Amino acid sequence: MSHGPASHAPASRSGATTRLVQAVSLGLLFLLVLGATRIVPEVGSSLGTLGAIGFLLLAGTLTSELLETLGLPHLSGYLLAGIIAGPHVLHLVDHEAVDALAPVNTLALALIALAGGAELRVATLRDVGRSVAFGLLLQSAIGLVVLSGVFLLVSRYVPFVQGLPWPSLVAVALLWGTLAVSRSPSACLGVLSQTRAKGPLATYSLAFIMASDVVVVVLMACVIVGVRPLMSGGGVSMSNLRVLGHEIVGSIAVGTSLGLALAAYLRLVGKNLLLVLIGLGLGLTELMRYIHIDPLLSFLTAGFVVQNLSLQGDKLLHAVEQTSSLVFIVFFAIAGAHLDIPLLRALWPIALALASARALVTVTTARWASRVAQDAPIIRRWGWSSLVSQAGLTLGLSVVIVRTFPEFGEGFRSLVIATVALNEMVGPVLFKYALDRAGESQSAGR
Amino acid sequence: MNAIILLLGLLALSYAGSVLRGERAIRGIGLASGAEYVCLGVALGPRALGIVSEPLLESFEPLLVVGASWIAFIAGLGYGRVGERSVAPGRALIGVLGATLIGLAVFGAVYAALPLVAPALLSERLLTAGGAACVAAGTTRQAVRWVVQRHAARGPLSDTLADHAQASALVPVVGLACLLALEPAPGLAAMAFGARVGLTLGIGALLGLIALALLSRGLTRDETWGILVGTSLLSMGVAARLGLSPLAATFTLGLTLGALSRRRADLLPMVRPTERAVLLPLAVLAGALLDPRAAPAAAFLVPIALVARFAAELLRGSLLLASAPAARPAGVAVAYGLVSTGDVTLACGVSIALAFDGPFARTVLAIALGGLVLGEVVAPLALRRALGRAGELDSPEGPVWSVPPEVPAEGDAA
Repeated sequence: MSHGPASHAPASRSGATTRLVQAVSLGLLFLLVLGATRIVPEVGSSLGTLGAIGFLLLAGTLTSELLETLGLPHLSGYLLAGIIAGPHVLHLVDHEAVDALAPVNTLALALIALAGGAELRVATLRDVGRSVAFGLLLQSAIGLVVLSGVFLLVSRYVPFVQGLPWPSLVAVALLWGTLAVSRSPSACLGVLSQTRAKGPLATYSLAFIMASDVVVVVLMACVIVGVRPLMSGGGVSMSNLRVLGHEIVGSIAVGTSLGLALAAYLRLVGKNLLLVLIGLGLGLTELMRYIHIDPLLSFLTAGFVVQNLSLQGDKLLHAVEQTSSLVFIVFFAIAGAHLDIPLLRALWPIALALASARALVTVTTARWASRVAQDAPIIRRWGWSSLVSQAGLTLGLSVVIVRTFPEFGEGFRSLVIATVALNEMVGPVLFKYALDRAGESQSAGR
Repeated sequence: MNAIILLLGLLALSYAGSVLRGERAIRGIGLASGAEYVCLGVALGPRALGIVSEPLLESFEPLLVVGASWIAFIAGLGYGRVGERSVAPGRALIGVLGATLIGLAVFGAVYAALPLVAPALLSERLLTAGGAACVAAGTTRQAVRWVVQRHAARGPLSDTLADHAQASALVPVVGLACLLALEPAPGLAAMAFGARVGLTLGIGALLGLIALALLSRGLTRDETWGILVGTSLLSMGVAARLGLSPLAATFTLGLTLGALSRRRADLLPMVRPTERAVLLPLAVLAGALLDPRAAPAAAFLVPIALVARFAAELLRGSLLLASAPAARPAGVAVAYGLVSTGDVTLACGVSIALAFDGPFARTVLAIALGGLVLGEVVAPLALRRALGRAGELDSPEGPVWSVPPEVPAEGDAA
């Protein structure tokens, strides 16, 4: 036993050297880009965007590696790199570059949905179906009602609802409540991918969040249809429901066809999957938007079909994992760069109150649902941990609200961004901590 | 045409490119330089069918720069190696000097002819002549490799020509770094010309060293890709921001990594399969960029540059015959075996066309594409004849589809 510490010494020295090299490299990268932006403050060409991708990729990777020593998830590193490099701190990546990187988000969301669907195995769903069903029902119902109520309570401090009549205020609160029950598939997949966690908590979290995706998309569409009369004073239009039905059924139909085609390609050709996935993620998303099909639901369905109706699920998952590893880094770093720090500074008391209320409701309801569903102790204890994060899906839904209700949409979106910022920073840390404590992540034993 | 549709078209071309590179069964189909895709681009471009419009091309400029720079990165990473073999320093030096000789000849011819045939370009005389030299100096390493693979050639002359072609890539890249350093961003105007060239190469070298340090520990394939892509994009972005050459910076990045990394043997097989996948869309878009109306002087300057190159090649060939005993049986045909230009030339031509506005840049692109097409016609035939005379062809009459063991099939790594 006496040689134990000695045998660890070279490894830890090598670890320290690696971290030192990473820290120096990160410093040099920041200095290089800082120097370039100081010499030429304005970028004359869109090549600045490419430089931004490269910088966010490297800085995100290095920051995440350095933060790993503190036990923080990689996502936190990507976000932090984005925040520091972004337009509100060092301004190494400007607003134009951040906006120009929108296709990366499109691609990332498509890959997230595809991977999410492919992770949903029917057998797994059967195992955790009861837990997920109870959880979804209680989280959606109680979360929607309670968090709408909390919004109404703090509404006197919310600038953009001042002067709204009571029915409109209720409408805004219901929209808020619906957004509050949305989760972050990307954060969940990101943490699971980093920790390579396996076990009941990982399975439950994945199944719950992917299923909740579908529920939230449908719920949001229903709530929008329902609250429109409260805003405009008119009645519920059946044509809106028809449009909603068309969108959902169409998305599932397109997703099924896509899934079958993908499965056939994987079986018969199975090569150049990087190009195929990029083509699908960018090209097909645009096409789906054009014909009013929800890309998220379609890709989710496609992944599900490949996993459960063919033998190609693992191949697809592996390909998506390879393609998405770089895309995710840029995706989360962009999210960090997008964080509107001045806005967060202005709205932080309300955002903090709403985020805290959401976290409290999430934890309480998840624990209650687990007890009702008689889940395993590990789920009862930590099942809530993956549900705190919010990111791209929530922001995407807030854009839909801005488009539908322009009269208050922008203010609403600002508050969503501020709240998501908090959840985005705290959520992945909690989930990784829970996976470590549950002994499911590979890093737990270290 | 919608940008997304064009993007999907380019992805389809990339797909075709990677299939062409990866499939053993169809290896050898297509031309070494990708000149047929340049012709396809000309046909699709704004001056012919108009399927790819001018605004659409503009929206794809960043992708063109990335494609060109990525090709330079791969060239830099594999610089100084032919297959598994290192190029001897002496041969590399001769290859560089030979390419410099060609470049100087073309520079001189264009510089001298400009007042006579294109007075409108006199204000950009140095840039025009320099650009022409850049796009005429190199010899594509694929051409030699292609003939060697197709005809199962092996012997000292094949090796010598492959080494010279491999080494020549340095000249157009350094030339391009100098050319863009002539007109940098305003923030660098106070810096001396030499310092600006040094800065271009220094950006690549610094990021190469950072990549080297990060790659030195055991990384997964995804992490390795992240570092390669990240450093490449960052070097392009920083160089472009400073008005310097992204292509030269990424070439230096690749060169630094290739020269110093113990993992070069792993890195090359990783990135080489992407070469053809990037080259084909780049060739199509380069063809679409060709605009004879924007470059009226090209009608005179393209032949002048090409004649100068062919004349200089004769001189280089004569020197080769004099200095290398293995080349003597090949005769003068060996000189024209090296006129083939390819990926690096295409990348340089596109970079110049995008970095500078005006007729001179389009003229340089026309010279690059003209040389590419003509080289494709002349070089493989000349090379085959030269190698046949030197007794290095196993199958002088027709193609063979097997690959000699000395020349690994890079597509297999895919």
